[in-house]
Amino acid sequence: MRKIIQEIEGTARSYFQQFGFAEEEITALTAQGKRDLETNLNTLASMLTRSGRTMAEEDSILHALKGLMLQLGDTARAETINEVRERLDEEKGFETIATALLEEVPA
Amino acid sequence: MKMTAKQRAYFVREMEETFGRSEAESNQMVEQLQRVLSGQDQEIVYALQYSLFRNEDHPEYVRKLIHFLFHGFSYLYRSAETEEEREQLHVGNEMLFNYLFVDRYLYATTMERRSNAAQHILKNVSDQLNDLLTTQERMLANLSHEMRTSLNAITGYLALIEENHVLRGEEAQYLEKAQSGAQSLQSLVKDLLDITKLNSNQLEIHAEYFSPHAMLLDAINHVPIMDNPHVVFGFVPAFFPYRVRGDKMHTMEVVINFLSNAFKYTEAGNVKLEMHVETLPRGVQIGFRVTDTGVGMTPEQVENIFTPYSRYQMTKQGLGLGMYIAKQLTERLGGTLHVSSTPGAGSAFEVRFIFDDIQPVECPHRGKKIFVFLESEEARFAEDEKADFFRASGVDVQVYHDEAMVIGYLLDPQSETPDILVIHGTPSTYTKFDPLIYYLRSQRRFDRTLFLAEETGIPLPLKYFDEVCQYSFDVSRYCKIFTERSEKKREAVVESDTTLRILVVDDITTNRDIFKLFVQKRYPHAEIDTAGGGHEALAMCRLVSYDVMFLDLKMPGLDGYQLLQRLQTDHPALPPVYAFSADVYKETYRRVKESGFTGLLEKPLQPEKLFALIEELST
Repeated sequence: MRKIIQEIEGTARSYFQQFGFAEEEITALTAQGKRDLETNLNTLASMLTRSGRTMAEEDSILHALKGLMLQLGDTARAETINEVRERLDEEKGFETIATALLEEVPA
Repeated sequence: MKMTAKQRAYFVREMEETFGRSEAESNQMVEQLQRVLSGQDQEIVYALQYSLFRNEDHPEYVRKLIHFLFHGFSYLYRSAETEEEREQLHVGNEMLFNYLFVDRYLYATTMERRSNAAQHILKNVSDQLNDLLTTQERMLANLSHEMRTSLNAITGYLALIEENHVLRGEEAQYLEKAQSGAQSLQSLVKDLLDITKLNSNQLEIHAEYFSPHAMLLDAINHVPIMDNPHVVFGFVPAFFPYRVRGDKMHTMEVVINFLSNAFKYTEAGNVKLEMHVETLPRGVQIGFRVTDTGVGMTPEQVENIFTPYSRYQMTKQGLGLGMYIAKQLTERLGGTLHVSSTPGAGSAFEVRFIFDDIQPVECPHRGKKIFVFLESEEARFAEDEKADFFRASGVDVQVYHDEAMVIGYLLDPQSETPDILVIHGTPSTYTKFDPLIYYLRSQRRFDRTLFLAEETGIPLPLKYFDEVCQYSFDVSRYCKIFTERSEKKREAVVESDTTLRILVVDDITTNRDIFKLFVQKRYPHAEIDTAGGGHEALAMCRLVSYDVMFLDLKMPGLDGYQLLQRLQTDHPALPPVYAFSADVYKETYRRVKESGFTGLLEKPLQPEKLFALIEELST
């Protein structure tokens, strides 16, 4: 999880620099971004280990992560999440995306 | 066995020749040898053994001794008169062989084994210590990095709070204290990171061209020079219109450490920063010297000042790493560091660097006009060098000394407008000119003139000067200011004075912060409120009338559609409400439209679209 967060942090930093934000503003934004990512990725990880979750719950967490990643400039990952969100009704669809997305999250 | 007179004479001679002993000493030694041969003195045997085994520092002596013993035994054997004597000598020879070879071999083997074991233990201990140090360094580096990231976030948010001017009175003081605490922590963490990098040879040197004078002005900005009213700070830069190639940041760090140290240990008196330039056959040597009239140091304290974690007054704050870092950095940058001090009188720290790659400062003001008002004659000398430099670059520099003449000139509608107008005077002069600049600007006059307040000496609350410097501006700073001002002008063209009240609703803090920053950057006068969910937004809308709202569509609790529905019920005259979503399908657009949203703003936020939308609302 740490790896993915670090990668997104790097992407976000360059992304915000393009808009001419001050370094302190970028640091504050990326720090908040890291916290939000961590919270949502932890939720995703705990959902993976929980049985009886609904498809709406799965969609909701993936939606949140997608939005966050888009806002942090990581469109590639957001796109990947989006593709899998459309296949949530497939068997093991959620596990596939979660595992692919978060290499370190226990399946 | 008893030696014959002939045998004794042989040994005395041998002793004299081999060991350079006197006749008396040799006789005495032969007497001892006789006692050994008679089995009367075992102590000498042990002494001999010790000499052979342990006398490692005198191998030549040992070699002579062995040679002497073998030859001696051989001679005794040859000159023995009876079979019994030869038998005794044979036993003695065996003993000697044992001493010389077998015992020594066993001794050497034992010692080697012990030495190997000791080396093995030492290596293990050393490996473990290295591992421990590496782990500690890594831990320290990671910890410092994490702390710095968090601290940057804290200071960033504190700066945002300060910029928003939301706190008043006592609460504003709390904010000030929080900022001060965060800055101290940042400084400590920076020191720890520096020391970790220095110790692990990870310090990266970044060579770049920089103006030493401008670097010193930056360094001064990093030190709280005004905190103690009893300490007077002086800055004496050298006129040096060149940029040098070197590691600006680390050079500046050394100077900052000198300055911080000087202010820390000077309760009352003076602190002075000077710059000296010496031309060398290839390049220049620049010295940055900080002198103070503080507590000073004893020779022992001077000796320890560059030891890590050393502070010569334990009552002072800090880890005692500053000067250690300064020394290490100086060495890495190839400079030399000099310190002198007298207890009770003060200290002087100087760092010297040789720069062999220098570039003259390019003057971008060719063909332009600089008007200078110099109030005092004393300032003329310093400004003359600068004026000569600009004149040599083709700039029209005009210097005035009469205040009334300058004011008359500025108020005359027919006056030519210079590109830069420099005021160099007393505090009252600057405060007099400040409203005049405001008046001129309000009349749309001197719009293209850059007003500089040079060398004010103290911080002044000047609002309308374009640039203010407590100390003498460096020529490169003129160039930089001019460029920055052009950029500011460009920004000013697009910066709007829109005063809309905006509400942004999103359950993720980062999304709200990003939205807010984007809007604030372009519309500094707009008021932006944020809500983390539908219910919070409803409550806020009861208190405040917004000009526009942006609602995230998918949120826990009330989602965007439900929130809009509730808002439509509660507020018949609802302002424009935009949906804000990462789900941008045709279906989303259709539903958004049907629900009554004014439009849909896609994630990621596209600033130009957002700004166009706000512009439209403003007009």
